Amino acid sequence: MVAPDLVGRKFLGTQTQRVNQLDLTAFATSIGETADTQISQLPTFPICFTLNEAERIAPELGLDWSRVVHGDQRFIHHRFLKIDEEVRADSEIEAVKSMAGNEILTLRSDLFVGDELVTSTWSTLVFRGQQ
Amino acid sequence: MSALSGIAIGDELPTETFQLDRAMLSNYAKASGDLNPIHLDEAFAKNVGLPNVIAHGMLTMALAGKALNTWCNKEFKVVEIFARFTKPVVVEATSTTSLEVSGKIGEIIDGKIRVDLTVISNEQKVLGMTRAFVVEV
Repeated sequence: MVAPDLVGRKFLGTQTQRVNQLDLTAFATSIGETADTQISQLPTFPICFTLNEAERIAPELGLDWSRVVHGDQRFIHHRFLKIDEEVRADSEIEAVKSMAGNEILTLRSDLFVGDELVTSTWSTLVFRGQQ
Repeated sequence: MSALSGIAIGDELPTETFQLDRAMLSNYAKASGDLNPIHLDEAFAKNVGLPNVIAHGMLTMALAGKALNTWCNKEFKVVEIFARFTKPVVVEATSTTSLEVSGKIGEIIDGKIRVDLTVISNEQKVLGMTRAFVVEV
């Protein structure tokens, strides 16, 4: 079981990831958008920078990433990321609860370029218990 | 012209329909970095109790974003989007799965338009509480 006192624990991003055109084009075309689609037209694109952070954090909490199911997701764009920017994700556990044998984690990940907060994201992740 | 120009509370936006297939799941997996085998490997998916391979919730949400992008038509932009993943979208190996995204204007405050989305596959709502806020570019 995840300890309730983990609420408020922060995981500061240790390295940056570069926003590159190839990744953007791959994301756009995978959902049937044209190759020239801009980041401002792809409101869920920043998942590419936050999901891997969640995957890195889960085992530190004793959670098994292979049992994860996505519960819900929010993005707030203060502005849109730009090509060639270096993005850092700072994350914080906002809620944990146990329900019906599952561990439910709400993780906020803020995407920064330098000191500037660009996009705020919230992921609710459900870790299914062993049957 | 954007479907959102001159819109009023309660107005409905034209339904956008998308077809999901295994190639799309594979491409989205690579593009997003979410390589969970429940989206890619039929034997694995069935082994963990799913009827078949299912689409990433984030892919379904990205397609809701695509409908928004069509409605925005570069005249508006999405500044906030939320979705709850309520039902899996099953994708068979040899057929496509249809996804319908419709929208209705829920609220307009200081030029910020709240679009309430309904996302349906196989006559079931697959996303819940799906909402976006859009503003003029």
